[in-house]
Amino acid sequence: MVDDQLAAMLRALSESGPAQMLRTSFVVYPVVNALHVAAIGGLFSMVALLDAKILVPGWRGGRGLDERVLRHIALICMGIAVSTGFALFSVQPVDYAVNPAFRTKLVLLALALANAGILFLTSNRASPGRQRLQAAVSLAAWIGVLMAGRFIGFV
Amino acid sequence: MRSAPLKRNSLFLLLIVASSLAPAGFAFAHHGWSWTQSGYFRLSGVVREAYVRNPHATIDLDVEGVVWRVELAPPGRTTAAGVNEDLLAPGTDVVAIGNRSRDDTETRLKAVRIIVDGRNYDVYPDRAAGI
Repeated sequence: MVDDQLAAMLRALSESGPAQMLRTSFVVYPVVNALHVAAIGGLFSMVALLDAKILVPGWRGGRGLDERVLRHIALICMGIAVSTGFALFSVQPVDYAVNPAFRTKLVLLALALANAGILFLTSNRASPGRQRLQAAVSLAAWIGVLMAGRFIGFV
Repeated sequence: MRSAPLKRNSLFLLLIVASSLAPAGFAFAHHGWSWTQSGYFRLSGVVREAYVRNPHATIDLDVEGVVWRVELAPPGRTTAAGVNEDLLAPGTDVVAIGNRSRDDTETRLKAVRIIVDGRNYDVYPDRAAGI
């Protein structure tokens, strides 16, 4: 499951003031939850547009989209998604840590981020074929992150 | 492709991480009623631990030595029904009526009504009318 040291850290997190407040507030928790969903929606939209620009070369509307702007918005959304996600995690960290859907989500998230990092860092020298492959991997991984995230409450 | 080894290494690393995360036998909250049996089920036991907070309100109920997980309504709704952790202090006798899991081996009940000290607390009032 989780080792003792990690379990102790997770328990300390769950006993922190903000975590206790989130557990007992029936207003703040849904608001944080909604922000998490909104940030993921924004992030996924930017990712889908960036990937579509690579995957659909004949797409005329895509040319007008500034990649730097899309990436910038994606990063802001990512920051909000991660911080609200951490807050939600803090409510029952020990339970989430062993939840298979949550673990799957983290693995897919790591895959999606690594893929995005490589795609960004090699954008000026990667072949079009590899860029298309990575754009496809990106879409699949982010959809996987969404799906796994949604399944956390159901497994 | 100059960066191919980098990519391969990253994927390899991810696979190692993924393989270390073996699925645990942990069941979280259930939304909806599709996972439950249609008939009402009645449990009588003693509270081992109650959790009436976000994101899901639950009671771990000791029923003759077997601990059942009793799922309540969303915490706001559960609290509105008068159920809180003070009411459900460990050791309290509780009767829970609701729908149990379709999986007979699973000791899990989605409560519609709980009874404490002879008083009914309907966490799903619309469903409780059918009891």
